[in-house]
Amino acid sequence: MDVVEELIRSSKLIFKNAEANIYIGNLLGKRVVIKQRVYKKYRHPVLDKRLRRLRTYREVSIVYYLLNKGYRVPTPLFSSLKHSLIVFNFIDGRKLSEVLRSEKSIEKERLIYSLGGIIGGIHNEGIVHGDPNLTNFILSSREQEIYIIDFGLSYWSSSPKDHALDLDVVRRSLQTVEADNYETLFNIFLDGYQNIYKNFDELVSFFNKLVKMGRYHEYR
Amino acid sequence: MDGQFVVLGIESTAHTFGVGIVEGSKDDFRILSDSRSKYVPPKNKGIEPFEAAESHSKHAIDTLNRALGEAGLNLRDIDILSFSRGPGLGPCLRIGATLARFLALKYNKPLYPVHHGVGHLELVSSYYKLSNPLHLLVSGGHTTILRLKNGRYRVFGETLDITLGNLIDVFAREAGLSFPGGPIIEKYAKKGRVYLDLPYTIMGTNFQFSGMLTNALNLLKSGYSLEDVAFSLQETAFSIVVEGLERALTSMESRPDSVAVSGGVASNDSLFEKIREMAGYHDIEAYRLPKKLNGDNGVQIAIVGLKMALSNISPPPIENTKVIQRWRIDEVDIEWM
Repeated sequence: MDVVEELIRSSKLIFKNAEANIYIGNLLGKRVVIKQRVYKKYRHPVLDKRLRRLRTYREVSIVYYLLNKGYRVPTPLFSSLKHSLIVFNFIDGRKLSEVLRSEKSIEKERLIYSLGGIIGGIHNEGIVHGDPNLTNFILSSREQEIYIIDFGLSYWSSSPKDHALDLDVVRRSLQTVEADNYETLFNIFLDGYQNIYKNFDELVSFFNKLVKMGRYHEYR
Repeated sequence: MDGQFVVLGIESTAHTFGVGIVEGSKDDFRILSDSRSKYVPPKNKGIEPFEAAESHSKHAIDTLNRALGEAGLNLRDIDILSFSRGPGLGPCLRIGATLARFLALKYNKPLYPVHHGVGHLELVSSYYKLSNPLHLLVSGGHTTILRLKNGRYRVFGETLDITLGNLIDVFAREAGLSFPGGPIIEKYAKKGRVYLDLPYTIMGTNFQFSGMLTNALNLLKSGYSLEDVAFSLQETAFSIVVEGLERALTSMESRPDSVAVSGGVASNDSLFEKIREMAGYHDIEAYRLPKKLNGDNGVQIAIVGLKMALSNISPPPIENTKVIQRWRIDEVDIEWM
């Protein structure tokens, strides 16, 4: 049995997310999260292999880059393309989606504003997250800061057109978490974003188009 | 008669003119009849709204009479009327709406306007008595992931360009096959052996297919077999949709215990197999209607009329029953249980 299989065997499966199994375990005495992209029977094996390798590779390289730039992301400690697996340090905290459900509105607004700044920052670095829904941010218990996780769909791009795609995911995610009050919160998010992001004027026209791209909008 | 209604629903959003009759109460319902007439566009052409509407107006009365005959009823036995108000093609919608208004006035029956997409969702969940499933609506008009929450079907993911139905129909048409392309493409895809790379575009739980369409057509032009390209197109497009569905499912705070697939493309076995595989992995059930009921029909419109009547919702005055061509499904208030 190789090292990776041994590590997984001794760890505890805590969650099956859309593409990966998430385990909690120990590596050299440190508490770690193990993310293993698993084979999906519903995908053709050729496509499945292509996606798992690509996403594992991108996630590791982009997270490393952001870590070096001082962003709050989990630290990748080990990775294996062969097993499509990454080992991260463990971050104790709660998902932002859960936090937003329980917090008072003033605290909600503060968090959403700073989330805008964080996403503006990674966009300035030329990175698109790909799935910045609110379950992909963790509010850490210790320093009460927002960590970004799950870069599986992320890619390199400096185009405001691609950055607008991320904003639309945030908008839709807020809509499902905070159905009634989402517009106010999204505007606060945009304030925080605009404060940091440098191509906002250019991005706005793409973003407005995108919002109308779903099915059957009255004005399109 | 108390708490029990006979409802006649009229569907005419696109190529199908349908009349369905259901009888039901709070606990159960029965389909008494389901009659349809279908407009088929000329070879190598898409649906032409005015031609479709003309075909609908020609066959409307006959379709209505067949539905009544099948159910062994006449119009006086009907308690409630409903019709598909939108979204869809204006000329087609107006044929169904006009017939519905005429019947409502002449026989003095309550008339409920219904959102076509909501009809697909309500039919599958009533049929299997599902409580708040995660829905995937896949048709020519929608490719949308939804769930009922606080009185609306909230969109958890959707296509940002063309629908799965469009993708398959346009591909089939460009390949010189007849309309509707779905069943023919499915047949060719079953014989495909080689998986060819195609663009895989997913952003969170939203997706795009138009890049894939262009690429698939180019593969066809450059000499790859229709079987292999159709197979690769289905494999890639379906994997994207199932991944979107899986992402929506796993990010939900309160997980549903079932997935319900509806709309014309739900009849594709390869798509449904993939969904069942994904659902099984997360220990939940996947459901779809008998194939006949996946495509557009009057029954899905009647079932929503029934629910509205059972919840004592008052129908709007007849002058407020204008069709709505563009009508987002998440703007409809769901006021029934």
